[in-house]
Order: sequence, then structure tokens, then C-alpha cells
Amino acid sequence: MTKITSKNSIDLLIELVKTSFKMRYQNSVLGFLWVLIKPYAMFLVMYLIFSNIIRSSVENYALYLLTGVIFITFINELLVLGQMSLLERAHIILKVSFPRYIAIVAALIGAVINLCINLILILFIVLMKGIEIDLIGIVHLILVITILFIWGVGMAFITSILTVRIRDLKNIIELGMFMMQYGTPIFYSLDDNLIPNSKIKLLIQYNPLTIMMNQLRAALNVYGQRDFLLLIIVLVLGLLFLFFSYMYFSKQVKKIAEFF
Amino acid sequence: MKNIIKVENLSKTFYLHTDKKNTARQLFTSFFSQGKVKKFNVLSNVSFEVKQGEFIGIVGRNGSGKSTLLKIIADIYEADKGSKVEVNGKVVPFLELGVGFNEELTGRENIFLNGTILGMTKSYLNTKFDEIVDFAELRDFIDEPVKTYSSGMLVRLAFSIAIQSDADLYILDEILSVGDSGFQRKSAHVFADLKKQGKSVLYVSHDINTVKEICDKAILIDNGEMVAFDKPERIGRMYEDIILKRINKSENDVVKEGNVEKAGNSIKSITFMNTEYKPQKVYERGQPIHLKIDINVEEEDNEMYVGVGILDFEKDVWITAVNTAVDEFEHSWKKGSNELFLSFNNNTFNKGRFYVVVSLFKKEPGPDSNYDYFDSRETEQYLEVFSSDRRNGKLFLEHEWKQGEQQKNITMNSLADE
Repeated sequence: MTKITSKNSIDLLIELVKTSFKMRYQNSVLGFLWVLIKPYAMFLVMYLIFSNIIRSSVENYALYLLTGVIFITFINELLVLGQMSLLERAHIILKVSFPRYIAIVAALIGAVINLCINLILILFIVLMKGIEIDLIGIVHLILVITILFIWGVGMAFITSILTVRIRDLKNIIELGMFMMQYGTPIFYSLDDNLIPNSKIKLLIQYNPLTIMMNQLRAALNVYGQRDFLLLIIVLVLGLLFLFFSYMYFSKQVKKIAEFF
Repeated sequence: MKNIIKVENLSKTFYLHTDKKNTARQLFTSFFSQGKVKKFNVLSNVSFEVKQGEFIGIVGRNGSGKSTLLKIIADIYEADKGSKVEVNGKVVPFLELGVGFNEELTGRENIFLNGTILGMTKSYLNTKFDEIVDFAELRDFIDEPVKTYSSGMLVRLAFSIAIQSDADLYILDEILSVGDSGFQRKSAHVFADLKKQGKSVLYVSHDINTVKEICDKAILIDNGEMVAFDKPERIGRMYEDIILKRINKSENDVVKEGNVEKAGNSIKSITFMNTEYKPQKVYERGQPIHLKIDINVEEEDNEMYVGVGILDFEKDVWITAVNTAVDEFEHSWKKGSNELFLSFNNNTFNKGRFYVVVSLFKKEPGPDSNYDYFDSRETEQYLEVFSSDRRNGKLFLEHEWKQGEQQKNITMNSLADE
């Protein structure tokens, strides 16, 4: 109904991303350094504990753990920022009709920016450790992030709508993420045979997050094998998921203003 | 002329779940018990067309469905099935000024944020940037965070951004009255320009005078139905009829409900009346306002006094307050019900709505005269004053204009007197 040029959509997206980035660490002394401090503090604590308890056979355990922590932080942000994206912009949605998907994409781009800041630091550490980084690895890395972003947007198309109607979905997702932290091999490795129950081990092994986390590690030559074909399959599935979740979203979003 | 808006059989129903399901537990339990769903027909079968270049006013009481209609045209709410809403061209809703303003950001940053939300591109905003800043008269403050701005500055900035959006249809929700008089004059020019450029405007208000002034035609909405679509003058008369009818229907329910009935001395009711002592709530300016206050006395107390205050519609400002203690009125209270009458014979209110508060208090002895209250009540419905002229402000004061020689003569005379 309202004609808004795509040029405006891009500008609006940039403005929204810029604003939430500025706002997130406004009035804090360390400012956006918190993007780094939080995962690294989590990493340090886990490293001190688990490097003594588990004594993992994984080479470069520190980097293994660090990439795991950064990965799970990213997934967490994708889910939380995505699901809150409509609710947090309720005051604008109630007054102006702009393409609603922009609010969602803007929130998730914020998560990607945080990830990129963290990854730059990791790249330094990787190079310092003497691990080589190849160009294909970088392409692999970008592909991994793109896939996660696509799945994240798809999820947010559904969760952002549902969250407006069912407010405690936020708690449900937080709880799910808490469980996921143990259901993905962040601080342990499946190679170590720490899990005696073979069914649980299988569950963790084929947990999609495990697969993606290990592909991220593989891209940086930290752990595991790269599997390009697997990524392409996940990408295609992600695009399909995105398509269907967008269908749901575009149908539901017309009524969303009535539910705030 | 082409149609900008074409609305046919527009209806809107809101479903209110009496037990609002905002948590999963409530949603889950409501699978089993259907829950009570209240249907509200906010709009029913509204049809009208707006042609390019027309200024259309929409008037109606609070809760009549005006805002819902605007939100449907602005594509924020979705109309019921079977409704047809066609909007040709770009719509910019000014349902609220400064949507998305972030108070931590500077004026400059907010121009781009708010501007893109309203559908403008960054490069377009760059070319209009100086114009926006100058129109808002904020050149010196544009790089300060807007949290340091006064509310007037904020509104000026928001308005200056909004008018730059190059739309075919502007939807305005009572925002013509922003800023000081100088800024209002500037905004009036802007709207005149819009008209010249052939833009269309939907203007919502419950102030019929502004609608008469700027609109070509007006729509009257009451209880979700379109009562009429006609010349603003006729719509104005019909609107006043609706208000009067409503007021006559509910003439004696003036005492605010929910006030706990106190034992002891209390105010039973407050009634507005005309010169014939019949209930009335709408007055022409100049027509005396009479108030009947029913008071229940349990305990005779000659030190009990009555105060009446008149507040503006926003309940911000005391227009006036009088009481029997200061006026040295001698009460003669008797046990049981008492009637007290108050008359404002010289009614100089300007057009507007006012609330009346009555209180019953005991005057404490002592120099600082602290009041000890028995009871205090506010009328639930407002007192309404009409006047055909266009005078601003809440009150009209007797006055006289003079210029040049006239003034000089007076000054000379008064000097001679001394």
C-alpha cells in the first residue's frame, strides 16, 4: 500500500543498526569494549576450570574453547535480539508503517557486528599461535556466518511474532539456550570419550549447532574437518526455512500492532 | 482529479480477550476453556473518497473511532475482511511527532533516524538538512543530544523533519497547534503550500474551528459510524448537536464514582445549571454558570467551609479557585442534606472544557491556616463553554485597545490629575 523505495529501506536499516549499536553501550565507561569483555571473561573462567578438570586431548584447547564461547554467544544474541526485535520497536510500529522485516534484520546485523569484532581478535590469536589461515578458510567462515544469519532471520520471523502474543517465550528461549550450552561441545570434545551414554553422544554429535560450531572451528584451522557440501545443504535448507517463515511473518505482521 | 483514498465498507473489530493471554500458561489454559472474548466494533461500514488536493477533516468525540480509521489508512492496523481500502500514493502519517527520536542522540543524528523512519532516503535528507535545521530554529543546538532540548525545541525539530517528507497524503492527528505563535504561523504557511502543491491532507481533531478554517470537507464519526461527509460548517453544527445530546442524557452523574463514601460530612453531588436552575453543562460565553452542591452533614460544624476550583481540560492549571472561608460567607448547616448554590454571573471563559473540583474543609485556627479536609470531589464530566469567535486562551478579560493620539491624551490627563 505504502510505496517506500528500496533505497530508503537500506538507509533505514543502516540508521537502525547504527542507533542500537550506539545505544547498547551508551553511558557505560568501557563502552563497546563490553562486546569483547563478556565472552572473554566467560572464556577465562571456563579455561581455568576445564583445562584442569578435563585435560582435553584437543590440540589448541584454549582456541577450541574460545571459538566455542564466541559461537554460542553469537547464537544467543541472534535468538534473543531477533525475538525481541518487534516488541522493542513497538513505539515506532504503532505510529509509522515501514517494512517490518527491517526491524528484524537490523537487530540481527547488530549480532553479526559483535561477532565480527570478536572474530578479528581471534584471528590475531590464531596467527600468533602459528596456525595458518588460508583464503578458502575465510570463505568458509563467511559462509558459516551467512548460514547462521539466514537461519537466525528465519527464526526471528517466527519468534518475534510469537513473543508479542506470548510474553514468556523469552524465558523459554533463554532456558533452551542454557541447555544448549551443555548440549554443544563448547568446553569438551566428543573425541575425549567423556560421555558414556552413546545415545546422548549421538544427540550431541548431530545437534545442528555442534555441526556449525565445528565448521566454524574448521574454517579457522582450530579443530575438525571442513565440509563444504554439508554447508551448501544447510544453506539451501536455511533459504527454504527463510521463505516459509517469511510467508508466516508477512501474514501475521499485519495484525501485530493490535497486540502490543 | 484522481482518487487518493477510496474507502468502501470499512469495518474494524477488535477482539478483547477478557483474560488477556500474554503468557504461555494463560494460553495453555485457554485451550480448554474458550475464555471470554469481547468484540468491539470500532468502525462499521465507513465509505468515502478523497480526491487529490483535498483537505479533509475528521471530527468525532474521543473513542469514536477516528484514530483507528487513521491507523488503517496509514497501514498500521488491518481492516476486517470485506473492507476495501485503496490508497494511491505515498502516505506520511503524523500520528505523533518525532517517532523513534532517541534522546541520547544529537539533533543531527535524530534527523536522519526519524527521517528514514518516515520513508526519506539519506541523500534526500542531506540535501534538506539545512532547511530542516533553519526551519526548526536549532542551528546552535543541532549537535547537542536531544535530551537537552526543551519540549518546544523537540516538537519544532520533529515537525520540521516531518514536513520534508514528500508524500501525496498527509495524515495529521491534532498537531497543528505545536510550538509558540511564531512557529504556528510558519506551520500554517507550510500547510497553505501543501494545498497549492495539490497534496491531500486528512486532519483529525475535536476542535471544529480549525477544521472549518483549513478543510474543504469534513467527516463526522460517532460510535464507529460515519454520520456525515459534508461541508465543515454543517459538520460543525452536527458535531455540537452530538455533544449536547450526550450531555443531556447524563445530566446528574457528575460525582466521580469510586470515591469511598465517607462517614461524616460529605459532598453528595455537584450539578451544573442554567439560569432557570435546570441542569445544563454547555454554556455560551457570557451565560451565567450556576452550580448546585449537595452536601450531607452528619455533624453540625460552623467551621466547615466549601471551596470550588476550576481546572483546565488537561487538569494542569487552576483557572480559578474560590472558597467560602476567604469570601467570609456565613454557612447555616443543618443535620442531613444541605444545598449550596454558587453562581459565576460573569462567565468570561473562552471556548473550551473545564473540570470542577469541590472540597469540604475545616479551617484550622492559626496564622498559616492549614486546611483539614472532610471531603473533596471532582466532577466526572467537564463543563463545556462554546463561543463563536476565535479567541485564544482560557479566559476572556475585559480590555481596551488604544493607539497613537488616544494613548497620548490619556497619559497627559493622568499626569494632569497628579
